[in-house]
Amino acid sequence: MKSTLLAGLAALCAMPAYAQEMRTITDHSGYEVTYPVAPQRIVSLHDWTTTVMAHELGANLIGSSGRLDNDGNYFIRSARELYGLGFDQIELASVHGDLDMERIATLKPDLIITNVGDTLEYRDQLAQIAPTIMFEPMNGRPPMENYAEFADWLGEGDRFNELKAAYDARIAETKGRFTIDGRAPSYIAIMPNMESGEIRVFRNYGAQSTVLEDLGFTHGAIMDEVPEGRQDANFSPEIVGRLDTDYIFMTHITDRGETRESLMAQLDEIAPGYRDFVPAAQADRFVSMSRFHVYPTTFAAMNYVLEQLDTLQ
Amino acid sequence: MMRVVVLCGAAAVLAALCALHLWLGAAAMDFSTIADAFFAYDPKNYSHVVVIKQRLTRLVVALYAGGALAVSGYLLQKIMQNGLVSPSTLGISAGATNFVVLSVYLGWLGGAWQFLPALLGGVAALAMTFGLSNLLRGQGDRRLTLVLAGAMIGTLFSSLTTFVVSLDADRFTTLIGWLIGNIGNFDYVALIPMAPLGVVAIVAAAFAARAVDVLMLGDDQAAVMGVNVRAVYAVTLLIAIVLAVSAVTVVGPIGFVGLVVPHIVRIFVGDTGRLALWLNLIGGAAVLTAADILARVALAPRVMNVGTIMGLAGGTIFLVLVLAAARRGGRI
Repeated sequence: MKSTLLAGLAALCAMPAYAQEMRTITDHSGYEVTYPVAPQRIVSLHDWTTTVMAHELGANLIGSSGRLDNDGNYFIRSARELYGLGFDQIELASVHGDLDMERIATLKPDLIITNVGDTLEYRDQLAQIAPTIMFEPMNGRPPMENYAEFADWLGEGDRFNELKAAYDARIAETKGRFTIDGRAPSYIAIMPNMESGEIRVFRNYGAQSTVLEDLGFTHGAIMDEVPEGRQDANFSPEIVGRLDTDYIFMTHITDRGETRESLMAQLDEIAPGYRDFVPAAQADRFVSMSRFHVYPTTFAAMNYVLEQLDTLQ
Repeated sequence: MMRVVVLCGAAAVLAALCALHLWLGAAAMDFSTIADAFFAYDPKNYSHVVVIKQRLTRLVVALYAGGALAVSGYLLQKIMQNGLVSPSTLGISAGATNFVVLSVYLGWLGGAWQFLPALLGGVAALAMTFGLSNLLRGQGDRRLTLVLAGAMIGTLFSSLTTFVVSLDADRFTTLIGWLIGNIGNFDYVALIPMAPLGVVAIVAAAFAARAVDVLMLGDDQAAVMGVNVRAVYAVTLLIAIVLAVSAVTVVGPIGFVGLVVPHIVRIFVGDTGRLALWLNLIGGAAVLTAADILARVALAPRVMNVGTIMGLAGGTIFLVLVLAAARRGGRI
């Protein structure tokens, strides 16, 4: 009788362990992470990747890292622009680039999601607070593949598939509208780098290049010279002669007063005379979009790109 | 006669490096295009634009910064009779960098005026190095104590720089290349107001060369020979600081030029007389020009950081010089 009671007590004590179903995955930093299948208190420590994706997927996001704007207010880069998400809706978990472990712990997360590039060195400390999944958006794989995997990690695969189906339908509808001389146009994604006087060439540029490739745009050969596994590289301005694509895409930050024209003026300084022989400049096919809208590879960002492209026609 | 041959030889090497600098780059170009760019410039020909507005401007910056840093290191090594000192190892570069960053953060001075905080920072760092070195006096080799003090002060200022940058990282994103020492395509703009200072400092160094030579005989002997030791020491120090700071203002804290070049020159012509001064000027210019060629060609069309190239090459050369000195039982 006594042993039966003891066994019953032991079983009762063990029950909380069964209350929350757990799963184990290997994240992008190579760590095995065991965490609840249905996390209820997710804290994201990287705004324009993990925060926007988790929010778009409808995961239980309760906190995010943020940045300070010129007016002294905290905001969530790209989440503010794409979804209107701010710290009136979720908690500020840390300031970008300055992790506040105590603040994160106070939020009592059951899952922390963050990116490899900014927080890998803090991984062990974060893992003591809650299971920590590290995401790497620049691992050389197609952005959508990374996003699909991230959605699966959060148990939001169905929501991802739903959003993807809607996006695919929109791409199918738009594809073929952009042709030049009966062929798909070519493009290159660049940014002038006024610090060094170089030209930053992108291998991929979040939603912008994803949509362009999905629409059948071909990219300029120089984009393939960006080293494998990197998103971008600074190239000598001597390569301006190789910017021979139909379109040139750039991005600007409206808060800084940047516009397409101001970026083109910067190129005037870096590569004087480019307007005379770069085909996209001569055909007025320089396009610039809001950087914080197109930087993440989420469906809202890709829909924004499609809307911007619609205005070109 | 021998002196003329050595000087002409060095000038020829520098001229060859200049030609290579104009010839090599991310875009292939033949010599006739380069000649046309100089003698029949067409602003609508992008090759001409590349030669004149991208390669030539970088070349001029490399020539100036290399020459200024090398002469600065040469003068410092000479008056302190210490082959281990240079603008970097005495903390001058780190101090200048820190004060510029502070000035940017506080929104005080911009453009060419940044020379002023840089000069103040360089002088402050050197004064602190001397002060610390005095406190450490009697605890070992005086030469090593000075360099140790310089390293500590340099580290202190570098840490302060990192701290200030961390206060508002976004504001400094456009200065990252400069902070670690690099030649940018727009550095010629900063060079324009610095170059006259540098020219005056070099001319002053040439005038002071003989007095500085006498200083090497020792303070007492120099005084007996009619040299105002304190004045010569102070003026030479000022020249060295102005040269180093003017270079740092343009390209940031590029290391090793001021440390290594004087040693290489010393191997060929010793370190007395104006010939050594001119050879340091030419040698420094040549070394940094070569580093910039490597930076632009090694991974073209990507452009590497010149400071990194200089650090790798300069560090290796310095190690070789130390090993060579150790083998012959001497010291550097």
